[in-house]
Amino acid sequence: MIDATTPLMQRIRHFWPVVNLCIGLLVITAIVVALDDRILARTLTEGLIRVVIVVALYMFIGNSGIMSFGHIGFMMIGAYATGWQTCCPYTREMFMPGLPGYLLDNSHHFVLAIFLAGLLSAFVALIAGIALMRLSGIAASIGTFAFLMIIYSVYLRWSTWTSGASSVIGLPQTTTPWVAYCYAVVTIFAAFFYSRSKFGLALRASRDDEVAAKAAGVNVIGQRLLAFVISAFFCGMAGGLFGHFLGMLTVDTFFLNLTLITLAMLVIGGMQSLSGAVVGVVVLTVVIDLLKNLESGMFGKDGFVLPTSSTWVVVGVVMMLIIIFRRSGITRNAELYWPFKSDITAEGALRRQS
Amino acid sequence: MLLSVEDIYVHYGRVPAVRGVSIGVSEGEIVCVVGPNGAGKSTTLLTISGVLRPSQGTINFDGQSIVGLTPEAVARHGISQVPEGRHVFTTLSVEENLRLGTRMRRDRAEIEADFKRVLELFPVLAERRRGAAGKLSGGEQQMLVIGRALLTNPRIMTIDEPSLGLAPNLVDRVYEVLLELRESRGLTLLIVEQSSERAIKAADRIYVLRSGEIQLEGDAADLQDGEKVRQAYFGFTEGVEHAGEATF
Repeated sequence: MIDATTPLMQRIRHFWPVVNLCIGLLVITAIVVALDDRILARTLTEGLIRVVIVVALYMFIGNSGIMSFGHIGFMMIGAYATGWQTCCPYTREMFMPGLPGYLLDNSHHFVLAIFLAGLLSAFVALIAGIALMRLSGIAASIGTFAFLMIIYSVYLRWSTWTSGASSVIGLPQTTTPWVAYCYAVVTIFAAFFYSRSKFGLALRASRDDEVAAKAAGVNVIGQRLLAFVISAFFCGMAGGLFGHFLGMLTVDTFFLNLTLITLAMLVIGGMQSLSGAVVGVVVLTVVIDLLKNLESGMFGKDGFVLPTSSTWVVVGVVMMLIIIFRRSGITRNAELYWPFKSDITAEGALRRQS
Repeated sequence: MLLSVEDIYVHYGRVPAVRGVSIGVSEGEIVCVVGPNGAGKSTTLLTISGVLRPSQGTINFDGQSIVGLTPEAVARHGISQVPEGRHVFTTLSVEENLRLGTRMRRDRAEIEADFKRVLELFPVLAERRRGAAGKLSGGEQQMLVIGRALLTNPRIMTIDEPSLGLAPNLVDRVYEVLLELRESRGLTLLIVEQSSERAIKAADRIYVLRSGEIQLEGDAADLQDGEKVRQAYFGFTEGVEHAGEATF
């Protein structure tokens, strides 16, 4: 039997959930890339970007217990900010004539651009969060929704910077499956370290019981704000990745549809666990892809064909069923469990000695 | 005086809940505030911990005013609060619950030693270390909350109704632990209780609170027979029968 009590095994035990998630995604990515199917690879890349989004959502929603409808706004900010730095050097002035001189004349490498875009999102989150994080419960959720509306309206009308209602075309399509995989892994690890840090612990405590958290000296508003800023940073980066995946930007991409689908993934997977966030993305991506294939008649002309748009009906029904029968999601809010015998209890210590 | 509350008034909206209450706690003392439902006991504690603000009066801790501080800031001063109703963090593990107690401290070596001591004090918590705190029984949760408050290394611990909803033998155990802590580390305690008997047994000094005012104050030793306390508690002045008619 494997001795699960050595320091090395203890370390592995600590990282067990994240390592598993990353290996799982690695296997999926490797298989799909090896299959060399363009459409499948697109689904995969989009799925991996959604891992970044949903894990970023988990950082805030999962740890604070406050539902946010505003995070896709941070994606919008990140996506356009990346576009300002990387898009179409020759036609940039045509799409976005209002940009300052430096941005019109210079392009950044997309990794740097995405990073800076994340910082901009984080900064906006800091400003918005100072007001929003004072709210609790449903009021906070409505506040984040209002934030999404504001960002959407501003970007829709800010045509000299965003091209307004028409799209910005010509972002280099640099988000390959492996690039998306790397960002997904970085985000997963960041979420893991954050939620297990003393800051994450304090925020989770305030989620369970705000009064007691305050009594333990937790500055609840401050902790929420920190989580909001960190998750906005990763959402902003996801926006940049998505822009470089689509090769174009439109304001409507970053609105209600994406908000609902990513929240559905988080809820279905299990809001309060990192594993839940990732599992939710994987499961819903597979289900949606399958349903869409059925809609477009994957079994040929005479085969079974789902009516158009029934995908969303099914997703809606699944979400309702989850909320009714399994409120804590597929993973029941737990992380992937440690398969070896626990050794922390007193009995474990005794067993080890004998 | 380590903690001195002087002549505070607290209002819920326009309704006064506490009127001119003064309470003093010296270092190493166990002080009990007893009184019936709605007497203003919890209100007084919540005001000390910064959740509520007095409309009048002063609260000094170690010579410094703590009126108007946030609950977090009050906790940082060394006043640890055990609010009413066993506030454990249900989805966090027992260990994480305890760790939260240490988050305001910087003395690493001491923290580990204290951590061990708390686990020795409450062996059941050591056994369930990795389990979710929400799965503990009521008594175990009360132990956990007290353990967490201890780990803040408080100068004074305020406890709101430690016996609420606990079986009698568990209540005994809770008080045993509290007394033990006073013996071993000179812990100062301010306890709010409904049961005056229990309070008289444990406390050095007693305050009886009714209708938002202090009715009686004195050394527990002088109040052993309980008659005075009962009168102050119920407000009976002319014998039990008569008051019974008035009350029921």
